Amino acid sequence: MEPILEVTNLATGYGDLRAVWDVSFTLEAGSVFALLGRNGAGKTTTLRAISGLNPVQGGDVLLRGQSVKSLQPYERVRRGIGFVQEGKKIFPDLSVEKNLRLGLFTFRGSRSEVNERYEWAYETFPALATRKTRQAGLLSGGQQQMLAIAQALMPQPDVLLVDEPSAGLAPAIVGDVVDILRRLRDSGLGIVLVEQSVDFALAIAAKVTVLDMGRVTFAGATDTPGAPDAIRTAYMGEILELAEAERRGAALAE
Amino acid sequence: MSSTTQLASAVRGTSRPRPRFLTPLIWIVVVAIIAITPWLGLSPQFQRQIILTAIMVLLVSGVNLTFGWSGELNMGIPAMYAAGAYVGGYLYIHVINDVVVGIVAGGIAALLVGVITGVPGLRLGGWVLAIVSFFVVILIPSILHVIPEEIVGGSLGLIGIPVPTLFGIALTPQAFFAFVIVVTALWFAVYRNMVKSRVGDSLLTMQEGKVLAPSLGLSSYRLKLLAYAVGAIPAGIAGALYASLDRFIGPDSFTIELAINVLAASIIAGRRSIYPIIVGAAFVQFISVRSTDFAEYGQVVFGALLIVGGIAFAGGLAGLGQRVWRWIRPNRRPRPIAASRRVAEEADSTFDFSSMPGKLLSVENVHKRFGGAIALEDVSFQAQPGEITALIGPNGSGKTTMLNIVNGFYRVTSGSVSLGSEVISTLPSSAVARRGIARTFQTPIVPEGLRTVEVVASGHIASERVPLIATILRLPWYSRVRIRELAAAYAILRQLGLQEFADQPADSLSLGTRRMIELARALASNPSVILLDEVASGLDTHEVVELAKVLRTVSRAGATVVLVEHNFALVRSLADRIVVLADGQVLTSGPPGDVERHPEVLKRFLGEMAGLSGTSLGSGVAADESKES
Amino acid sequence: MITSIWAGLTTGSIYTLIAIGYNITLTTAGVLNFAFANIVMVGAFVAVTGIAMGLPIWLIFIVAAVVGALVATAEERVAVRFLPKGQHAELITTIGASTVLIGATALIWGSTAQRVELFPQNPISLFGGQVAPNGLILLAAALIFGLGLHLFNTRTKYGLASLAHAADREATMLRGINVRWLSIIAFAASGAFAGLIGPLVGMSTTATPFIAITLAIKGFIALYCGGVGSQAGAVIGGLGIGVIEALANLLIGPNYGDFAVFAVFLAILLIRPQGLIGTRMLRSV
Repeated sequence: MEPILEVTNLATGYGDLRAVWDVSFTLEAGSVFALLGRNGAGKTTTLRAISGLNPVQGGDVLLRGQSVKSLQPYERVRRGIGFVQEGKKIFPDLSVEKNLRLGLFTFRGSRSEVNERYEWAYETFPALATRKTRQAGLLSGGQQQMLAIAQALMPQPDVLLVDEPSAGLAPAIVGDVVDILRRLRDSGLGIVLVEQSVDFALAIAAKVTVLDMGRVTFAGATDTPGAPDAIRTAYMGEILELAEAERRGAALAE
Repeated sequence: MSSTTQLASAVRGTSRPRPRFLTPLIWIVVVAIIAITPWLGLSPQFQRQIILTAIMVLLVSGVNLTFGWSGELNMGIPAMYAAGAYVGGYLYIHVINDVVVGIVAGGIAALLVGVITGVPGLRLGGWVLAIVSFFVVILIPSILHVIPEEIVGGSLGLIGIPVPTLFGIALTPQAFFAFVIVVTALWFAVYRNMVKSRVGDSLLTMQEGKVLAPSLGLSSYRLKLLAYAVGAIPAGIAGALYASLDRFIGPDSFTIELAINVLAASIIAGRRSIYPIIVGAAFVQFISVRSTDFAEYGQVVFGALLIVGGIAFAGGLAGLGQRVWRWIRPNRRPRPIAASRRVAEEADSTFDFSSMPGKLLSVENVHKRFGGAIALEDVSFQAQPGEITALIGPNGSGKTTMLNIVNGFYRVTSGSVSLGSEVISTLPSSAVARRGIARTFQTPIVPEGLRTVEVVASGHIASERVPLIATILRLPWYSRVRIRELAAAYAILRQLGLQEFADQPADSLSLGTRRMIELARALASNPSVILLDEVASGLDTHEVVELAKVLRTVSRAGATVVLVEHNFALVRSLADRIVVLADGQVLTSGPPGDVERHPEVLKRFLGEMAGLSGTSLGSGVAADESKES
Repeated sequence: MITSIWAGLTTGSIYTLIAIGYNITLTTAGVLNFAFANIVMVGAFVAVTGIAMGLPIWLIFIVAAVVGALVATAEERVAVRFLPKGQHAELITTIGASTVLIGATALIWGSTAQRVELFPQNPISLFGGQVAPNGLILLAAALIFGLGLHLFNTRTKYGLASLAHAADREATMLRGINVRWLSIIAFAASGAFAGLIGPLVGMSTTATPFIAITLAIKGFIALYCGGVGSQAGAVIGGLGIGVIEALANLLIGPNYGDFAVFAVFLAILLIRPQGLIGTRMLRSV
């Protein structure tokens, strides 16, 4: 299957600062790719580079085979890359309905197609249907996360970048989020998922890459028998090395 | 020459040890030469222009103090100028005709006007203060109408100001010229001594944002008000001088146009500059003195300069000059404040890690809500002196909130935080810092315009107050304190292995180095408690090992060290005690060995699953069933 | 006394219109454009030239609006686009733009006050006081534009985009909205608005380069007292300040109008810094 999103040797950062070196992966429609790593590893920076908020300092980002690395964020959104930023990012002073309406800003369609999108949103996220006119800032954490996802999905993107959707959510709600992402995946959406929780990622992702300090320490499929262990080692490998160094350092200081 | 003398000269801000008397000597000679030019044949027209330039220099120094150093745009300089002029003029006519009395009274009048009109806007700052001060200038004609004509002469102006007199001797125009030059030079020295000092460093620190200054024990509001108030004084002095110049003052001299001219001169010179002020003032004075037509071109020029200045010319002439200098001599390392380092080396002092005044930090039943959201619920723990206590937890667990509460940036909703026997949760953050709590930040906050050693020394400033007078006059009191402060800063940097960066501008260094500089700054305040917010993130392995060594040394010296961390391995090997937060509550606490075996901790924090065969979180479906092949 | 109130409502309408102009760029581009009142004056001067050339009134308004839009767009591209973050940069550059405009208008049209006479100003008797027809037009303009822009912000897609942009620029970009254009359009719109009301304002104040600064300041005070970002607040703030100023001048004495306005401003600063209606505070720089 043709990959819908290809990231090749991506290098990115903030201004002069390089935060990510040489990340590559492909994403097929109807699948989930997970990017794991500790805080500060460069996961969010990678997503931001794909969406255009950070500059691509090396390598390329291809959407349906075409390079988008010189396009502005709004252009990439219009071409079909949606981004759910971390931190339940919605517009708190606007109502649920207006938040969704903003999501449809660039949607080109007839009146009935527009209505269909609203219906789809309320069907998929029933918690929002009963709160259409509620100010978004007054929703609970989980509802805000649902709204953020719904908002990004309103223009029917082909690719969805999701940054730490489980952060700050109670375990039960996290389960709901996993369900929703799974359903979206099954309906053909390609999802790039960034998470700190290895749990979450293994639950729905077919492929995983682990980042540490901006570099890839593991990349592969999740369904092979040794994968979870390898992932965990990669994830914590640097941690374990560090612990060793600590003990050595501590011995020297004595 | 003794090392103390060398250091004292270095403390003046020069970068190479000079004989202590050299700079003042050069000053005196230059000022004297300028002052006697009328007797050397300088024409009266030129004399007048130079006096007006000197007045402009005074006004611009005021704007620099309020805008460049205090960080607030004060457009009300003409009002303070007017206050000085009218008070001076009135005194000369009705009370006592002595120029010294006049400029003192003028300075005080301007100070009062500045403070009264500034205080309401200072807390809100920004646009509000600018507009309030602009408005005051617009009010000047109305105010002059309202005050009885006998006093201020209404819209026609105050006439009949007598010939300027000093100690009973009437001053010839040439003597008045010399007087103006001397007064301007004296004020200039005051300005320079104030900004190139601990006070200047504090002001730069204050401008770096709302959290840095309070965390070092400095009160932002007080510093701002200080610079703002002192910035009013030269305008008053200028006014009193102006009153004697033409012996007539009228409302037409105190307009918005003047405010904009002075602002433009400040931008041209560089809003924190010192000597370039003279160039900026001369330039503006030159343009504005032309005929009306040219004045309109002048307006366009000034406007364009303000636009450009707002965008590109961040440092003005001074900044441009520095850039040119660096382009000419690109590889020059900055000259060290050598003498103080020599003192540090001579004394062979290492920072005295043998004892730090650690105290018990107790957090008791702290609850914190933000609106409807509960951030912390019934959190209690203690951090013992001589130990490293780590606060760990995943994103959203509340650990940064807890840190900010201990610091005093947030208030508790209920519960308390105590340092030793004193409750500190009700204190403002600068007071908490002065009680001995130092912290570092997730993203290091390092002011621009300071060398590393000065940044480290800024941690100590709040612990030892020196009156402004001593600073301005560079009394031995100031020198002693400053020498000690810088020497201690050098010593700390050496202890942390950072001495090579000591004289470099701190804000251009790498992230890891800046983190260590923050730690050095925290140590400079000789704290009881050190709070470290994710201090290891962004450091490479080697740096983390060094950091661990320092932290161990510091805690063994008796300080209470609290680490907020993500990096479990660092915490595991370093901490004596770990407190695990999750969802705003304490999950467990104890020595690392106990905590790392706690099953909840493994699952939540490390993301491991029991048995690793994978179970989906909410829906109870085994992971391998749900994955695609 | 009623005449004074009408006069106060007239000047108050001018303050309101300026506050509304501030709100346009503030809510959309996040920039408070100090030079807005200067663009209004440019509009007034265009009317002076237009009248001298004998152009029909409707054409004068159009030309003024177009010129205003051009000036504002030029300002955005030159002065505002490159603004570094924080530390008063926008204040200085817009003051700079204002100064450039003062100089430029003085160079082109001269620095003496010039009368703008689009149509005869025979005073009308209303509710026991006299008011010039232009005063009523200004009042109507203030109310209509205030209401209109309020509806625009809350009901239209573009108003929604503006509110979003003011709240979170990045999130707005991620909704597929071209925020750079948003900024340019906001400035052009505010410029066209300024040009449009220029002739009307000029009829009451005469066309003078220097008066712009006073208007800019009082317009800001109206904006602040009403509540930054709120068009309804702009109306209340502007009209309120205008009336207070006129009454103080009448009842206490000439020159006291400014004192009264200052006092009200300080009072709001200290007691209710978010303004009468507003909920946002101006970001303290």
